[in-house]
Amino acid sequence: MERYEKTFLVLSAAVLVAFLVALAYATIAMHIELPGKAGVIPIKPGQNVAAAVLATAPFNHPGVTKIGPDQYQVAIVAQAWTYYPREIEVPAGARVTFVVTSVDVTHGFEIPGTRVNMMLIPGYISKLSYRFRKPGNYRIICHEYCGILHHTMTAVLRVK
Amino acid sequence: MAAQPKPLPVEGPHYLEGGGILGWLTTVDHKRVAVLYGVTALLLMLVGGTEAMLIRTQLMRPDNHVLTAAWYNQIFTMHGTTMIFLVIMPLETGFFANFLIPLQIGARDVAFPRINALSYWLFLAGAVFMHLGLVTHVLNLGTVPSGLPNAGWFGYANLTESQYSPGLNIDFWDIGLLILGVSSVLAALNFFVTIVNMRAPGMTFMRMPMFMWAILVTTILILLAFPALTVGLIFLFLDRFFGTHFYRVTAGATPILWQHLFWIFGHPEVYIMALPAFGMISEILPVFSRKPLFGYPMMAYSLVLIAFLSYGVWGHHMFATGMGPIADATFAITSMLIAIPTGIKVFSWIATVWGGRLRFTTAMLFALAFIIEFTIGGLSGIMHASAPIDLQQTDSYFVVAHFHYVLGGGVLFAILGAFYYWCPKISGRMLDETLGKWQFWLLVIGFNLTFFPMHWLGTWGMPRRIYTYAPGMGWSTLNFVETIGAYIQAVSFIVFFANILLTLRRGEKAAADPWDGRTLEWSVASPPPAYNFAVLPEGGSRDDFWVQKYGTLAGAHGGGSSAAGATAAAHAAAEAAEHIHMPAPSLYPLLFALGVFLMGVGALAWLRIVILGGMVVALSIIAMAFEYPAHGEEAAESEPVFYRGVDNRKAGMWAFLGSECVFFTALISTYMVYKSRNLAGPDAQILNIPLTSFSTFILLMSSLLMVLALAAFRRGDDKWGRIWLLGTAGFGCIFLGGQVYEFTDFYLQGLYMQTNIFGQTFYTLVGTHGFHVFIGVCWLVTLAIAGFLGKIDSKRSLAVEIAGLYWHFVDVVWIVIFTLVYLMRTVKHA
Repeated sequence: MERYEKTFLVLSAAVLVAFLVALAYATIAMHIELPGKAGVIPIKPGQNVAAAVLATAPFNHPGVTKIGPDQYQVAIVAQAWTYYPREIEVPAGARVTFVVTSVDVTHGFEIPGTRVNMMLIPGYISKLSYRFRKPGNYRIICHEYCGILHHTMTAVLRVK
Repeated sequence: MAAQPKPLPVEGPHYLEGGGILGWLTTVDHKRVAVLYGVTALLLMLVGGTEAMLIRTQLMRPDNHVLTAAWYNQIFTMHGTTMIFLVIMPLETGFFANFLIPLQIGARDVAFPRINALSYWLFLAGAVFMHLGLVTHVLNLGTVPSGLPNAGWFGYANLTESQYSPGLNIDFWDIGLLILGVSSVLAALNFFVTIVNMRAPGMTFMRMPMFMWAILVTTILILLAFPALTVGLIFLFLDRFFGTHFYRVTAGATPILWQHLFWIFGHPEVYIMALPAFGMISEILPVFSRKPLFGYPMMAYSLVLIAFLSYGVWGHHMFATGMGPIADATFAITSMLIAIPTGIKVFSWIATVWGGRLRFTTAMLFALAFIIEFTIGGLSGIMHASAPIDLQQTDSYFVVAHFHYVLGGGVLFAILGAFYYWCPKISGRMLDETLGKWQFWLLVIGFNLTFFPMHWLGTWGMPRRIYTYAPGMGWSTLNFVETIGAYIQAVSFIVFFANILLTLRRGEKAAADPWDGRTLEWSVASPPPAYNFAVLPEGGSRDDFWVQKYGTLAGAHGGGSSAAGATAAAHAAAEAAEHIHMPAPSLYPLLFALGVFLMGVGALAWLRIVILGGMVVALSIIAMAFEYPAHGEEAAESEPVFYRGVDNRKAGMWAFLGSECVFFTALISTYMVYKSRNLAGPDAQILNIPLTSFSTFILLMSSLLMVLALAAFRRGDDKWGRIWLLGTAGFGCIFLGGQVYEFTDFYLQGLYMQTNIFGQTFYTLVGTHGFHVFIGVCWLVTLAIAGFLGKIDSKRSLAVEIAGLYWHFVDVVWIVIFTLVYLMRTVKHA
């Protein structure tokens, strides 16, 4: 094998290792969590999804709940083409856990400028935690195309 | 090799001359079919490009209302669908590959010329079908207003269900894609067999032009990827027309099924578009650098490696669905791995150019720009492999930037380069280089101005597929800049189309070998004669034509081909040309496609049209079968064409069965996934094991009879051959009878396809297999009748052998189904 070939092989391997290290660093050291299935909506035979969602905690009481010191849970129901509730207020610096589901088609849940980004699949509960350090108004945007008024599907998150 | 007469240009009619309109409608010449593909795809490129301009005009300013939201959604859906299925794929595979495969491997035509024509007409039928929404919109047909498809090119379930998309829009998309899928698989099968089986005698795999390698791997990808999409589309069709629940949440089903099926197809699809572009670049760079391609073996292996890995990366489209840490990690690593073979290609291209004597023709400029633009797209692609980063970018404009760098700056630049490079061969005229350079620079500026800022917009959170956005988001300036860039691209394409039109009218006549090319297509006249090669080339070395001209692979200092032998060779060639039998034209591919189109229209409008269409299809198939009654004999008598090993038809059957494997795998996987999600009603406990065991035994025994039938025909015992054939068909009928009894029994017990997800997956899987058995029985009976008419003897036992391959395959599939569905019915899956 020529010297150049060896160099290239070593370099390629090094690049791949660097990628993996960056990936591990992001997930472990920076606590970047990926959305996971936090649960399913139990649907009885013949029942429609909306009814099933509204009968399942915490979606029977959508909105902000304090679940511990400096910890809040925000239950949100997505429906074409709005979120319920549409205006949410949480304190700055607290750990906010979004618990979201959809009652009709697949929706998105994105807060620009943060790493909050989930797909909302009907029948599944999506869950993600985030700490908003800077107070201000954040916009929740549906970023999964969901029909004619997709672009109007937004909500406001106020961090005080 | 030296003893072989040089296949030099022959004076005579070229493939474009004569025939009139009927000649074009009935053509089976791969070059004419390619031109039909090319013209259609260029027209559709105008459509798709106009759609892009409308999208960018709408997004030029915040709160803009140039289009209505309803139109915007239809237009972005059709922009994606058109560019992928109706422009890039047909231009690469249908146009360039179709034209160049026989010319580059030294053959007279593709393996199945009529299937080639059929692929084109089906493509046209699918393309027109996709746009029927315009007709229903204008005439206001249907119970609810309908227009063009409007659920995105990815058509995510469950938005596509009739509950949420009641119009015909999605039906046009669903059925149109099904038709296009059949067209693509047929074309891929055809090209695969051609490349594997019909290369010139001396052309081993490692001597093929790199474009042929790319197309060979692409055809395998098409054969093994499209069935997954077909299954997904069939489920959608059943949901919309028969009220099943494949993607509905209510019955325990989940819309995620669509995402898996779609991306198992969808990621290989990216490479179905990218690999031919890699191949084109690998042809253009060596010619204009006057150096052989660097690292040929690695270039070939890396294509295979990319294809292999491309089936294991679909999950990186789905990080945001929440697949869990193990799946996320697996897909992250496979997605990073695929960057390695791609990196090998980029470095090899650079090394090819390195130290070469470069000629900056328009084709070369596009090829060089390809390397840069594609690498930018590739780098943002590697970012997507990292799940945490991808999560930030999912459904944002960053992704739009990424795949436009891959498919626009990458694939489209390669296609444009290929136009400038191969247009002289195809049309016989040179595209204007001055206009070409104007087009190139306008496109480079416009392209980067449009798509580079999208990286920033995406990072700032601008989502994809939005009709409009609020003024205060900070996205307005860059969106305005992007639209200006898009308009510059539009000007560039106006220059391109003007160049094509001017060239065809009064462009400079092209010589046979205007670029000092390296591969065999440059050894024939421009445009080539209908039979391609008067004397089939030997193809004894890599870059065969170059070696013929200069004696060595690397050297470019030889004296060129000797003019002395040219005249003698031309005479010999002209003499040989008189004995060439080309396949006769046929109208039936066109009729077949028309029938399919009618069936599609009928499904939406009036059931009787489906029956009419079906009859047209059936009659076309029968007519095609009788068109050349003595096919085998005639082929044997005419000038010998070189085949490697197996017969084309047998190789085609193997390729088809490979595709079928993926089809059944998708159906069986769906059954397995949905089995444990059944909410209510009958489940696998209803299955009657003793009865099915009996019919399984019968089906397996039928394979034994099939073996006996083939053996009898081979040893010339026609009587017993016919008896065993009928016996096989009879056993097939007993099996089908058992299935009819089983289905009726379940039906009476209240298990319909709509009852629950067990019912729908069971009936689809087992019913599809039953349909395969039915087709097999029809085939065997036809063969037996042909046997009684004395048409099958030991020389033509191949027909029985091919039917046997199919029959054994269907049996093997049944063993899998019987084991997984029936015998393991009580096994629960998590």
